[in-house]
Amino acid sequence: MRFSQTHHMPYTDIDEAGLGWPISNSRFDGQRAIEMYQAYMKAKTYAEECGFDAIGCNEHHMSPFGMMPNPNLIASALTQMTTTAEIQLSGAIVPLSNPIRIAEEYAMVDVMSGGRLMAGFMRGIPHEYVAYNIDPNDSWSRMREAVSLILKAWTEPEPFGWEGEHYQFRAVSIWPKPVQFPHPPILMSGGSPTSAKFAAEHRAVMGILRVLNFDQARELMSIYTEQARADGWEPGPDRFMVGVPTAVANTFEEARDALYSGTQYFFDVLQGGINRAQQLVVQETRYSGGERQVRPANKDQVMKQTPVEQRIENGQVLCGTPEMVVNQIKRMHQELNHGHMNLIVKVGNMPDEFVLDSMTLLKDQVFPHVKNLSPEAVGMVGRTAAE
Amino acid sequence: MSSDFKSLTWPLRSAEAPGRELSYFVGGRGPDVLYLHPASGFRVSDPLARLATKFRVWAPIVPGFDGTELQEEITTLRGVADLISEFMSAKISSGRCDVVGHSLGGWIGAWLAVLHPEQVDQLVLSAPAGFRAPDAAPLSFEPAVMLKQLYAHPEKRPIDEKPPEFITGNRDAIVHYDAGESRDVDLMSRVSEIECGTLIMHGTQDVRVPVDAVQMLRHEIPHSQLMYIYDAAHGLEIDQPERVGELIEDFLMRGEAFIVKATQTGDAAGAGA
Repeated sequence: MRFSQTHHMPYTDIDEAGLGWPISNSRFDGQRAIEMYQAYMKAKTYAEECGFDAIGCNEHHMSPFGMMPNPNLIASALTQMTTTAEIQLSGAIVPLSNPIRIAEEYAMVDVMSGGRLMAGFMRGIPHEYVAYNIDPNDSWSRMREAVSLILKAWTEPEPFGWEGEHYQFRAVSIWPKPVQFPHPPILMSGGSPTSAKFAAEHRAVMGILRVLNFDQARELMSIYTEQARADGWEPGPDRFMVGVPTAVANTFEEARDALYSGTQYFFDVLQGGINRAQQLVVQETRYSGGERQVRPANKDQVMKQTPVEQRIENGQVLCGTPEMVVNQIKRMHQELNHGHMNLIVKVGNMPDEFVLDSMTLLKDQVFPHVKNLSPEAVGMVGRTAAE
Repeated sequence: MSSDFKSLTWPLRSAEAPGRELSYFVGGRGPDVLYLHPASGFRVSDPLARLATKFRVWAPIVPGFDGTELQEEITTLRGVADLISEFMSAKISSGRCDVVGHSLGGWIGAWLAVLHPEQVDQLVLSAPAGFRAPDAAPLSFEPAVMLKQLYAHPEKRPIDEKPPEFITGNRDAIVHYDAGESRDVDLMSRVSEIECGTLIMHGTQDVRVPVDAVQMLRHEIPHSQLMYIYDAAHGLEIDQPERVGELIEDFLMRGEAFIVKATQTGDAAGAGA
């Protein structure tokens, strides 16, 4: 099993964010932000010491939800602060940005890290489109075209031009190119049937970044598998990633309380204005494409009201003592046969000391018992032309 | 057929028997451009009609296509290129001009640029046939497969007004010129001799011209540009007529400088931007 660590780098020095959009930054305290970045970079780099295979970086905009509007900046710092951990960009919100810029910056991260990049191509969540003033109706067409263009920029042997619906470039020849060959492994979200199919079409690792229950996860995985088989190949566990908020402590009560309060803060404060923008986007546009939703619209409220014990049972979180978490991981693996787990180690305003302690317990008492599950997922990153 | 184009014939100088002639269309006003049609024959596509608003377009019909007679002594597309060279010398005042070829026309255009470089100012190879690698899978000519491979947007395909005997004749002509495998080893070994500025266009979904074929051309032709047309298959003039028309026009008018984004001032240099 390949384990990645995700830490959204939230701004946690506010008690409420309000329900409107945008979320006012009038209460932003620069000195507190400096301290938070320092603590968060410490937690991210500590992941390597704890035996995480990868460190994740995510893009979100205009919200205390995460202070990582450009995840490539964090990734760039990590390339110099770590030596072995993979850099999991999960990742750029592709339809919002210049695809050539994404291709260039990802290639930089790949080279600067010595070929440790897993390249995430995300479509983002609806409020991001308001933040960057991009028509949400175009999210899928921009996504499809931009991914094609980025892959061309990475793999084309000679300079080329691109004449598309959303992007036009007459002369492209990026420096550097990625060091991994033919390009870094790709990670995509599989939160909807369309996303799952799209990920399979690109042979990407499909991340179910928020599991609701095993049935939901299996349904998305089966859509991926169906598409892969239609394209003539058989996906193994190394194509599936499951994301779960994680809290490990010496007692169940301590882990449960930390997870519970962190989750409440996440939903009540960090998600505040985002939900409103999201409602407006979904209501006013074809962002969802009218497709059947595997994740219910009120998922956040459902999850917020679900007791921690039930969330564990559903496979939504990992929580408890190291022994309990080992069993939860084994059970989840038995249910889903996935090869990657993305552990969200800081949930809401979970104390930073707790986060580090939780990671230490993962290192000493959890990973040794579960790393041998689906070992084929380890080693996807780092294949270079020389090999 | 657009009323802008008129159909004429030109007597074949090389033909000894009386009455042998090369058919061609000509239309538009402006600098001369030679247009070489694909294996489906001549049709005034939207990009071609657009071209004719700024250029005088000469479009000879390759003997054997669109109901014309084969010239038995011309058995290769290299030979067709020589014939086109004669045509240019006879009909175009300076004897030289820009050349645009689509698919089979690109194949002929490449030969023309190799054999008669003094007659080709700039060259556009649109989904050029003839460059499939020896290990490429054989081309399918099964209609259902072809339809899928030719168009990313088959709904845009014009209803073919050509009589059935034209369509049959076009297929026979492909066989006559031994063009079915779309592989011309002699030409592939000589494309590096092409001296003129060359625009190569390829649809991102084109499987009839494999991507490694256009990559090879980009590598071998010294002054070439390769443009990918997103969401287009082999028939990129049909799939993405606006993008293709704009690119051709912009390249022909601005040459190498077409890589610089032009302002939308409506002046000649910025046309098509």
